[in-house]
Amino acid sequence: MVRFVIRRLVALLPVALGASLAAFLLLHLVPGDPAEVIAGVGASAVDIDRIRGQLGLDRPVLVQYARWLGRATIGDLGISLVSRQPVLGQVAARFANTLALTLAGMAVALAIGLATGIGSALHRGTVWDYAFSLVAILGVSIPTFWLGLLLMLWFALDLAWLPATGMDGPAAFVLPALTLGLNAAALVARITRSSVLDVLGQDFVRTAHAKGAGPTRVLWIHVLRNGAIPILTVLALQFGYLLGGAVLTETVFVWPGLGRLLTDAILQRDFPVIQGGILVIALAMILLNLVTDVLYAVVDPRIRYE
Amino acid sequence: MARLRRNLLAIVGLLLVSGLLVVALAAPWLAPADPNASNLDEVMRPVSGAHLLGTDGLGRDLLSRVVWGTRTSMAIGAVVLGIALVAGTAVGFSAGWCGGVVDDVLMRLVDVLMTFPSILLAMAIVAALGPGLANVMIAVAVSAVPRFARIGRAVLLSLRHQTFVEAAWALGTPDVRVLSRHILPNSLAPLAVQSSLLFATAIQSAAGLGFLGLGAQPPIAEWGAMLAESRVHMRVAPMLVAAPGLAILLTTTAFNLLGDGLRDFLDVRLPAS
Repeated sequence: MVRFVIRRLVALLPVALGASLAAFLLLHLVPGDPAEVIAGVGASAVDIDRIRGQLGLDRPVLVQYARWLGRATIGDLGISLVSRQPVLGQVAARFANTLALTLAGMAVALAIGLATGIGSALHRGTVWDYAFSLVAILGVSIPTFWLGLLLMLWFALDLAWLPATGMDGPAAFVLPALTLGLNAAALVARITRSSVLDVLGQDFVRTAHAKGAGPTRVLWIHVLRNGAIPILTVLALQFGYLLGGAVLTETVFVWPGLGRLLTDAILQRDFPVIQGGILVIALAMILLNLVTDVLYAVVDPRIRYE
Repeated sequence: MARLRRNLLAIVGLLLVSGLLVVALAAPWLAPADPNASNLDEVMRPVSGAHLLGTDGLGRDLLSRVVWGTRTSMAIGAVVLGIALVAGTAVGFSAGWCGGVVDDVLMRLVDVLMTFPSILLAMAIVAALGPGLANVMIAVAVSAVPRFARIGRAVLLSLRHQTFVEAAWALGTPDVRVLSRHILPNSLAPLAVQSSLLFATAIQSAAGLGFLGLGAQPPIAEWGAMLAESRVHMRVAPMLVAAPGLAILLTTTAFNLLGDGLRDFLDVRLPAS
C-alpha cells in the first residue's frame, strides 16, 4: 500500500509542476505589458517601472518562473498589490473557510444523494422513482447562485429562521451548505441509482440472498461495496466541482472564502493573490486525486497490483 | 416503458430548445420594448398590462431584458461550443492519431487543465484577459476543451483498429481522408451528446461569471448579470430575481434533457475517461 501511494505521488508530480506553470503564466497571458495593466490607467512611467521591478518582470520568463516556484516551495507567494499583506497568509485563511463550506456541502450531497439514489434503485419503476428522476434533472440544472438567492429570500429574509450572511456559528452553515450541496446531491443520486441497479443484477447478489443473508447485509456488504467505485469517482469529481461552486455560493452569502478573495483580486488585477489562490486550489485538487486513488485501492484491492 | 418515458423527456427537451432558439432569433420582434431604455419614473413597477413582468431598478422592461437575455445566452452557448468542439476534437484526434510523444504531451496538458474545477479555470483565464462577455466566452470554451479532447481521443483509439478503418488504409486512402470520412462520422454520436450537455454548462458558467461581475458588463441584458444587479431589490421586487433565474433553469434543463435523451437514443457508451 505504501508503495502504491508513493507511485501515485510520483505520477502526480509532473501534473503539479504543470499546474504551477499554468498559475504562473497567467500573468503573461495578459494582452500588452503586464506592468502597465497592473499599474492601471493613467499611471506614471515611474510607477510602472516600480511595479516591473517589484514583480521581477524585467527578467527572462523562465528565470521569473524559477524564482517564483522556488519561493513558493518555502511558502512565500509574494505580497498582495492591494492589501500589502503576504499572499500566503491571506490565501490560507480564506482557503480554510472555503474548505469548511465545501465539506459541509459535500455532507449534504452525500446524505441526500446516497439516500435518494439507493432508495430509488430499490424501488425501481415506482412513482417515487419517476418523481425522483425528474427532480434530479432539475437539481442538476438549477444555477447554484440562484438557488442560494431563493433560499436566502425564504429562510433568512422572509422567515428569519437562519442568518443570511457571514459565518458565525453552525446556523450560518445551513443555507450555504444546502445551496452548494443540492446540485451535487442530484448527480450523486443519479450515479448511485444506476450503480446500485447494475450490481443488483449480478449473480453474487442472488447467491448472497440465497445463502440467507439479510437484506441489510446484502445491501451494505455486497451491493454498496461493489457499486462504490463509480460513486467514489463522482464524489471526487463533485468535490472539485463544489470547490468551484463555492465561489458563487460565497458571493451570495458574503462568505469570507477563497472564491470571494479571487473574484476581488481579479477585479483589482492583484496578480500575486490570483496566482497564489490558483496554485493553492490546483494543489488541493491534485491531493484530492491522490486521496481518490488511494480510496479506490482500499475499496477494490485488485487496483493495487495493476 | 422506461425507454418511452425517456424519449418523451428528450422530445420535451428538443421542443424547449427549439422554442428558445426562436426566442433568441426573434428577440427584436418579440420583446415589447427596448431592453436598454431606462425610465426613471417607472422604477421597479409590479407586473402590469404595460410591463408584463414589471420593470427593474432602472425602469427597464423586465420581459424585454429576459427575451434579449435569451439571445445573449444562446450566442454564448453557440460560440463556446464552436470553439471547444473544434479545438478539443482536434487535440484529441491529434493525440490519438500521432501517439508517442505528441500523445503524452497533449494529454498531460489536458490533465493539467482538468486539475482545475472548470469555473475556476474560466475565472483564471478571465483574470488574465480581463472581465467582459467576449473574454468569458473564450475562457469557458478553453475550460471545456479537455472534455472533447478526451472523447475525441477515446473514440479514435477505439476505431483505429476496426476492420473498416484498416480496410480504408490498406486501399491507400490518405490519412486526412480516413480521419474525415471514416473516423469523424463515427464519433458524431458521443460528440453530439457532449455538445448538448456543454451548451447547458456553458450558459450556466457564463451566467455565474456574469453574476460575479466578471462577465457581461452593463447594460448588456444577460441573465447572470441581471441577477447580480437586482439581488439588492430581492425583497421589494422578487420578480427581478425570479425571472432571470427561471430563464437559466429552463434553458439548462432543456439542454440537459436533450443531451440525456440523445445519449439513450444514439446508445452512446463512452469508454471511461
